[in-house]
Amino acid sequence: MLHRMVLPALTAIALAVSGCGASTGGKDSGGGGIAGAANGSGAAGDGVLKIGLLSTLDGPFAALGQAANDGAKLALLDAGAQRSGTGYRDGMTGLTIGGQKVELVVESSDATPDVALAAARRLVEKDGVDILVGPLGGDEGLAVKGYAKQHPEVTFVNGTSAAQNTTLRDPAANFFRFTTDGTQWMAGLGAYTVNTLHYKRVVTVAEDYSFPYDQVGGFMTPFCGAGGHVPKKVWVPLGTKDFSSFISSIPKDIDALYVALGGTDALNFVKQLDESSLKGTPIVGGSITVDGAVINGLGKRADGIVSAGPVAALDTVQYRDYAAKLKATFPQAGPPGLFDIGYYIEMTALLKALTEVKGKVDDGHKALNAALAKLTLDTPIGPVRLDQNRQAIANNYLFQVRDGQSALIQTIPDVNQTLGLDRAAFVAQPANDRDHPSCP
Amino acid sequence: MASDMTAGRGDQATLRRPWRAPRARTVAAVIVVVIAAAIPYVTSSFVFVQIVIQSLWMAMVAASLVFLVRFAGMVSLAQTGLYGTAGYVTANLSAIRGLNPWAAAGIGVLVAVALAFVVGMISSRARGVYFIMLTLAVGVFLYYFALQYRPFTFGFSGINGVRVPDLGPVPLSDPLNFYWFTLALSVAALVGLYTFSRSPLGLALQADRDCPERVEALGMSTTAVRVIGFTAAGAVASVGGVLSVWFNGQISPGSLDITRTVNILVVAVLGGVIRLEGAWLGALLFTALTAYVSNITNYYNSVIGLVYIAVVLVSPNGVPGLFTATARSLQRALLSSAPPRTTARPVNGEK
Repeated sequence: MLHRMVLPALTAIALAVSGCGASTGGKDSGGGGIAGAANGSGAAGDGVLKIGLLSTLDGPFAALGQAANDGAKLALLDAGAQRSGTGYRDGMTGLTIGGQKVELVVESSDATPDVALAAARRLVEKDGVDILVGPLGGDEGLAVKGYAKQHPEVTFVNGTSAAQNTTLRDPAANFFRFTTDGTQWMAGLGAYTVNTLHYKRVVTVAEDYSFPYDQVGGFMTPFCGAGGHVPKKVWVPLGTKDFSSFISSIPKDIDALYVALGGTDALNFVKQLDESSLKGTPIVGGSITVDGAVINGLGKRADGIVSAGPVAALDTVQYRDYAAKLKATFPQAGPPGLFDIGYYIEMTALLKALTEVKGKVDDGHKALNAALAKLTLDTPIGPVRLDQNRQAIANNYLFQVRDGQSALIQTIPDVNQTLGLDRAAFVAQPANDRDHPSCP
Repeated sequence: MASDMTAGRGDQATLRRPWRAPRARTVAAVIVVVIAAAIPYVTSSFVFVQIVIQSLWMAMVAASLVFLVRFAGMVSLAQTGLYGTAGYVTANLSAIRGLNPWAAAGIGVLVAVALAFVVGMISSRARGVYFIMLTLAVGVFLYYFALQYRPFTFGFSGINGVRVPDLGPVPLSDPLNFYWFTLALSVAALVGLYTFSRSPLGLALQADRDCPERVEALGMSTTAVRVIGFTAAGAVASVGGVLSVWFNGQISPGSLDITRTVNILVVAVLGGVIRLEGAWLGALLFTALTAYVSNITNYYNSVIGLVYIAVVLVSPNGVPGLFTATARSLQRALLSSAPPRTTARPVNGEK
C-alpha cells in the first residue's frame, strides 16, 4: 500500500524535475520569511571567492544532480581548478581569480522547493558564499529567486531551473539565468506545425502540473498566432496508466495531437491511442516526450514525430570539444544532456564575468553583476546573451524522428523569453496554466 | 524522575521527595531561561536563525506528537498534514488573496483544528497499528491534495512570498523579534499541553491509554476523550505550521511529504517521548545534525539514522533520558551511603 502511494509521488517529482519548469506556480512577490544575515566569513575582500553549487544529489533524481555537478565542475576545470576528490559533493580548489582563491562549496536538495531553500540558506548564511549557482528544478528556482531578493549582497546564477516566472515576472535584480525556460524550449514548434506540417486543429494532451503548462503555453502561443486552433486541452493526472477515458474525450475532427507526457507515459498513451478510433493520429511532442525509450518502444509509429528542445548534438567545435571533455573527465557520465550542459553554461558564464572584473566583489557585487548582465557566450549549444531581466536569449532546436533517430531539422536562433512577441503584451497575458493560452 | 511531570503521579513523587524534585526543577528552569535569553547574543546568525528558530517551530509539531504518544498512546502520522494545512491556508489567504496576515493565520489554525477534529473522529476508534495506518493515510492524502489541487495550493511549486506580519509596532520579520514570538508560543504550547494533561479530560485520556475498558466502565466515552485529545494536539501542530510558513516565506508539498513526517517522528524520539520539553531538544539536535553533518560526509542521512538508532538503543527515553540516567547514577554514586531509593521507577511513555 505504501509502495503504491510512494510510486506516483516519485513519478510526479520525476516529471516536475526532468522538465524543471513551472510558470503558474506560486505567487511570488519575492521576499517573505525570516532572513538571516549572510555569514561574514565569506564576505567580499577576504581573499577567498566562495562559490556555492546547489543541485539535486538527494532523492529520486540524484542522477540528474550528478550530471549537473559534472557540468559545473567541467567549467571550473576549464578555468584551471583542481578537484579535491572524485565525489559529487567534493569541492574544488586551485583556481585564483584577481588574487583571490576560488573555493567551491557543494550543497544539495531533493528537488523540493523547501529543501532547496534550506540548502541555499546554508550556503549563504553558514558557508558565506559570495555567489550561488543553482538550483536544478523550476519550482526550486522560484523559491530561490524569492530568497535572492533578501540577499542583494550575494549573486545568484541559475542552474537548470526553467520556470518562466523566475525571470519573466517580478524578477530578482541579482538572479541571472543563462539557460532558456520551459516555454522557450517549445520555440519554433507551433509555427512549424501550422506552416510546414499543415496541422490546423490540434488537441493538447499533457500532465496536469506546472511544467507541461509552460510547454503547452510555449507551443500554443505561436501556434494560435499562426492560425491554429486548439478545440480542447486534455490534462491527465500524473502517473496515469489508463488513458482510455481521456482518449475517448478527444474530438474526432482533428489534424494532430500535441503530447507533452514524460517518457514511458508517452509510450503508454500512444499505444492506447492506436487501439482507439483515433488510430494513427499524427503526433507533435514536448521537450521530454520523445526520448530513446519512446522511439524504440514505438518503432515505426515514432517516425515523423516532431518535437523541440534546447539541447542538440551540434556539428560545432564547441559541442564536439565539450562532448569529448565530458567523456574524458567523467567516464561514467552519459552523453551531453540538459543538466550537465546547463550547469556548464551557467558556471562558465560566472567564471568569465569574475575574470572580467578581476574577482572584484567588495563593491557590493556591482561590477560583477554588470559584467554578468552584458556577457555573451559561445556555448556548446549555441550563442547566449541576456535580456533586461537577466534571462537567456539562445537558440532552440526542432527535431524529427527519422529512421529511429531524433534528427535536428531546424535551428530557431536567438529565442527570447517572449518568443519574439511584444514584451509588454506578453507579460500582461495571464501566466501559462490549464486555461491559458486559449484558441478553441 | 521523569514521571514527576505527570499529573497524579507528580503528587506522589512530591510526597516521597518533599524537597529535591522542586529544587532540581527550579534550577533547570533557571538554566533554560538563562540559555534562552543568551542565545540570540552568543550564537552566529546562521545558528540563531537556521538552527535555533527553525527548531522552535519544528518542535511544536513534534511536541504535538509527543503529547499524543505520551498521554494518549496514539502514534499519529497526520501531524505534518495538519501543520501543512494550517500553513497552506495561511499562505494562500495572506499571499494570494491578500487577507490580513493575522486573520489568515487565525483561519489557518481554525481550519487545521477543524480538520484535526474530523481526523480524530475517523481514526480515534482505531488503536495501535490501525491508528497509525489511518493517520498515515490522512497524511499522504493531504500531501497529494497539496500536490494536485492547484487552484488553492499551486501544485508542486506551492505558494511563495508569504510575508511575516508586524505585531503592533514590532516587526516580526526581524529574526530577534520572531525568536521571542516563537519562544513565547512554544512556552504557551508547553504549558497548555501540560495543563490539558492534568485536567480531568487529560486524566481521562491517560486512563484511556492505560485501560480503555475501565474508562468505559466509568461511563465515559473513550472516543470523545480521544477525539478531544487529538484536536488539542492538532491545535499545537497547526500553530507550528503557521510559524513555519512565516519562517520560510513559502510552503510547498515538500513541507508535508512522507520524509517530513518521518523527520517529525525522529525529532520526537530523539527528544524522548516522555517529556514534552524533549521535543525542543530533539528538534535542536536534529536541525544541527542536518546542518553540520552534511559538511562532513556525503552520507549524512545515514549518520542521522545511526544517531537515531543509537539513541533508541542506549536510551529509549531519548537524549534527555541520557541526561536523567547520568544524573541518577551520579546521584546514586554520591549518596551511596544512603539507603537505595525506590522512586527510580521505570519510565515508559506507552504504558
